[in-house]
Amino acid sequence: MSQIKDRSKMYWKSIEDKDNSKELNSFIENEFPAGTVELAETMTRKKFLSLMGASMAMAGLVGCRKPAQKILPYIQAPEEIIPGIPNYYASTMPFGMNSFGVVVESHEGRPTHIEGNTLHPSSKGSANSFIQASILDLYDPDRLKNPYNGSIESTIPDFKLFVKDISKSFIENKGKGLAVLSNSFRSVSTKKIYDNFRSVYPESNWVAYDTVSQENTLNGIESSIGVKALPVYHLEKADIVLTIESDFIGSDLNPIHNQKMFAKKRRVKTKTDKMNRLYSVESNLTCSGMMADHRLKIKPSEIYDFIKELNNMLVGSGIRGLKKIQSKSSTFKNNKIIKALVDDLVKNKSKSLISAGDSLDSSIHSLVYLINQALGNNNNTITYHGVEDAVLSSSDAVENLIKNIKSGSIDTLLVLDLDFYYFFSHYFDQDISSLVNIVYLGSHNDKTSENAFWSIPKSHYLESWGDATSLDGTYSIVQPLISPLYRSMSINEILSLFIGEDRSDYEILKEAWNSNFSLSSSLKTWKKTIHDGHLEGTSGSNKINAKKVKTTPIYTLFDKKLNSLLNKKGFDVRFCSSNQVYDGRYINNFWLREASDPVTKISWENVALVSYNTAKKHNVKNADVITVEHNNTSIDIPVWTLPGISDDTIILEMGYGRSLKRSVDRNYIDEDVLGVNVLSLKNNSNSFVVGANLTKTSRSQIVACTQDHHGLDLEKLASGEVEGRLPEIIREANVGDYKKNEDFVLDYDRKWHIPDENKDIPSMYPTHDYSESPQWGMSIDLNVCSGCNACAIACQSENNIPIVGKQQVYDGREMSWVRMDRYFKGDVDNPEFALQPVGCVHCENAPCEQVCPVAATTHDEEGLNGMTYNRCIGTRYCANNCPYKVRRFNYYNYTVDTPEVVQMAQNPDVTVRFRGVMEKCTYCVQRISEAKITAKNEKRSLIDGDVKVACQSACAMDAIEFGDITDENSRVSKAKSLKHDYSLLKMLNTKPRTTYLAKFRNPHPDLAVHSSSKPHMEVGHH
Amino acid sequence: MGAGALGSAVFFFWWFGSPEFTDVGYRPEQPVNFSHKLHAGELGMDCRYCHTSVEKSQEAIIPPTQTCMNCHSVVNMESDELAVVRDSWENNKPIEWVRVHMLPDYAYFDHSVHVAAGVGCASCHGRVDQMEVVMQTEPLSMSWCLDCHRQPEKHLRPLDQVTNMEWLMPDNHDKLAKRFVKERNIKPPEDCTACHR
Repeated sequence: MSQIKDRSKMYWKSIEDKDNSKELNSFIENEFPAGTVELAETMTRKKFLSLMGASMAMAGLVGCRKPAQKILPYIQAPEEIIPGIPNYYASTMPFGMNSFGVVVESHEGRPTHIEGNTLHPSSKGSANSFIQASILDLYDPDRLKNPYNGSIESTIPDFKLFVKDISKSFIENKGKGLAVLSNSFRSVSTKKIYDNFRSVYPESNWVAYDTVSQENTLNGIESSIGVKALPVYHLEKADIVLTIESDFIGSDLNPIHNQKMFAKKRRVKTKTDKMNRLYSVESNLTCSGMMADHRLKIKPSEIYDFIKELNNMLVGSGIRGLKKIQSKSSTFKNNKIIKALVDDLVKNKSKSLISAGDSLDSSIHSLVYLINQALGNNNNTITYHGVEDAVLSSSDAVENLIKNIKSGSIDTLLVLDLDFYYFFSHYFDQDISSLVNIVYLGSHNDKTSENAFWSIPKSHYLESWGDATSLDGTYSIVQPLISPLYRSMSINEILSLFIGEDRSDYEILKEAWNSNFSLSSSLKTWKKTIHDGHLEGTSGSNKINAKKVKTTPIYTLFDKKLNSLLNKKGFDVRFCSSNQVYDGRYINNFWLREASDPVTKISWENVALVSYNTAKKHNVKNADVITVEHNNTSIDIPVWTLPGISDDTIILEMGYGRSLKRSVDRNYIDEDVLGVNVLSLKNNSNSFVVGANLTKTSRSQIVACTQDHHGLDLEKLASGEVEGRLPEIIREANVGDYKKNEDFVLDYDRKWHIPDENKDIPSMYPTHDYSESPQWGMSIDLNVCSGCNACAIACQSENNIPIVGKQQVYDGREMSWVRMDRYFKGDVDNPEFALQPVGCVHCENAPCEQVCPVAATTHDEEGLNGMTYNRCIGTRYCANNCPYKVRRFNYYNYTVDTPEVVQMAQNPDVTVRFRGVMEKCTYCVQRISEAKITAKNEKRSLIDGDVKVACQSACAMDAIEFGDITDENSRVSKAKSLKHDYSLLKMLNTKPRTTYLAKFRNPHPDLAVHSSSKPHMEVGHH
Repeated sequence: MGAGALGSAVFFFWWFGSPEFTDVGYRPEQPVNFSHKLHAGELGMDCRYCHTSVEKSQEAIIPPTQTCMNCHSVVNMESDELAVVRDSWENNKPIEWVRVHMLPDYAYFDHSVHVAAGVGCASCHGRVDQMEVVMQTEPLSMSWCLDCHRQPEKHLRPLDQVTNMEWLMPDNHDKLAKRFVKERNIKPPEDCTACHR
């Protein structure tokens, strides 16, 4: 037994878990932690009962008749709409330097759900959380709805008159005193208007700016090859991948393409499959870092030192085309991981890939280009793509603009979809509106619109025609799904107004594409382009041939930077984009805000992330408020310990703290939660600052972190004698060991004498007959899951899952049907990670069904564990008895005050649940029904692929397979027949329909700690 | 005594609270005096002339005003009865029909699959061709749905007779129905998940 104890807590979920904290234990022990306190300012139970009692008494039985419902048919039915059958249209979501092809589901003209476009190269049929949640932005009740002239409500025609007026005088002086501030963009039509604008107003100033930009990458590659270009990774060809401060499968520019291609080389099906090896060097913890086989945590300022060491060791190993960099000392001398990495890179020339994060300095990008060139990766695993049709972000230009505004040389500033006050007000001591007249095209009633001379609502991308170009050069069409809900304009429309044309967005698009691609000759091509969402065959059209470059200037630049950072004291503070709000644009998107961050597991706000050691050294606990000070600027922010962050480093997420004026109050959502704006600490062009101070304040605050919520029952069991059982949940092996011991997933069962579920174990429960097809099942491949949350948002959108607000999440009442479990493994200082999405696993012997007193949760013939909401009386016994903890209870009527416009985002095929009702994953039973009915109407039987559940279609890694498990040839059956397939909590004999494929790690042979071929040899960490 | 009172209370709600008692016979007044008896009965129009999507979609749809105007722009143009329809057509204003057959929001019914299986319109909607004003003739309760799902044979027709209001069950129906079940692969689900999701 002592042997088991020794490797106890091999896996742990949080610091509190590892330290066996009392508070946590009491939180976990309590099935429904927060009791049933009433929410403030809502109807109390007592009040409700007394009101209901009175009205029942008065109403008597007259109220038995259901209220009359009206049916309002069309006057003239649109040809393409059949009520009850959704239509699907291709469109494109522009996203800075990239854009994603989407397919939007529309019910009677009302878009409800977004998925990736299989035809489009940048989305390949999948969609990340931003793309899917963008549907909610369309229906945001707090959107700006009318034009405002100052604080007075106005109209578009009035605004047009105003523009006519000022453009007259600006045309006379060639645009002197006129400036435009926009995000960077890539679009044929917008670029065309931009060019026209510049020719009408040659002396005007146009500045593009993103806080999360590719400026450094573009500049770095430009100084190597002379052309501004961005790398596109071909991970399907790379055996060795190194990411440097880059979250290539998470928050970077091209995540979906990267995920798809990475998974191709990552997935292990048989022992002959080759698996890639991922090295990750980073200061922050990212999805890519959690996936890595070897992760080297560094301080942000140590990055130059690391690159130097890498470069020098490559030179030492005889790689030609690189030069040795001289410097005194190195933190990374004799670093084992770098040694292994260099060994791998040298052995895998032209089959490796080095990805440098966009936030890194341009000198690093130049050098990384050089290294990739020397390793033979350029033109093989990496291609470079030009950005000709883009207007690029420039931090120098924005600084100039601010200088000019301050000096009074700018009279009118046209701000396009960018909250100027949020991003820049800390640069100004004086009132900005007294310096410049702002004309603002924006989506919300934010600080900028409050102070603008004119503010005009911006059309959502699903409300306007336009186009965007993807990273790989694919020209894509932005097709509207609905006419503008409010009196709004698109960027193209407002610009066309300024150049005196006043044309509709469709005319602008058509004209631009006709002149660029001469499509006018062929209506067929134009129609096909709109249908496909992009112009066929344009992927790779902007490819630039990577070539040999001069090395000396690159090294000179790098040396200068290297030496400038040698003297470093205090904290490094690194600024990252947020997985929830990105750069602040999704601040009012409650799906994204509430979904716990893939890395921090915190919902609704940002925190200062520090390492375990740093927290100890400075005596701060989770959720204590700290002051971070740099250059006489300081912010107060709650602190959070995250294993995997480097010591003496503070990670701050940008984008929070953007305040909006809301037009709708919602009871259950804490709308005041904004997080903290950290931009005032940030230097404009750099992603980190050095020499910051941390001081503890006396305050602490509530932070809603879901890491320890809904833990599997076994974790609770594990706190006693059976600690060693934790490896049951995540089963993993080194891929090398797998080749020797193919059925390692069974080791655990053998050790604990768990019988095979296929042999008939006697069960207390009545058995069902599951012989008839179809029988639904799911397989989740833990080896390729990156924990990115796309599946959770897809589920939220598809299944009308309510938002509950920060306080409720804090109380453990988040409603998300997919729970992304994350486990740390080993050393708290430098842990390994394991991720596991858990939804209802649809047990054949379902414990929940046995305890439901009203048969609200029952099995169906196809193996679904169904949930009949109108039967549920809310005893919560089922959740209590569910060992997987996947059932979610509606403590309140969360949807009662959902604004009408938000209701438009709801899926009409799924019931909206009421207070007091239990809910959980249904395997998207509505999609199953739809597929079955379609097949029946077409007089055929179901075929594999007819049913794609929402999480499955969202997953870019293709980690989720779903289908009929009685069909031997279905993808899900094939996945389940693999040797490393296992059921979660198998010893309970629940026979879950969702099974998992074990996780593999692929460490360098020199660093491998062998995973056991025999269970008792298992070792926790190295 | 107490048991008797309880018993009669239970009986009271069981009988008078059931859809059979509360819903059957529901015949709301409609904005237009549209007579199914005239159109579907005497004129013999097929159900699908107006309820166009019944074979394709979960909804059978109430026709757009345009469908009325297909004929009434030449027939009975001046009729007072049609004032609401003309008003709708001219002023682009939908006619506000009152729903007769109401299922609760948590029950998902699909017309198309029932039509494809060969369940006649009249099985659920009654002899609409004899109704001056449409009324509900069946309880549309869950047990009523299940009755048919458990014994579908009784309600299956030849596929070309689905919309025929006057269709009568032939003497050899038992034999025919067996064939229909086999040919059409009829296995009506009795699980909760079939309708509740």
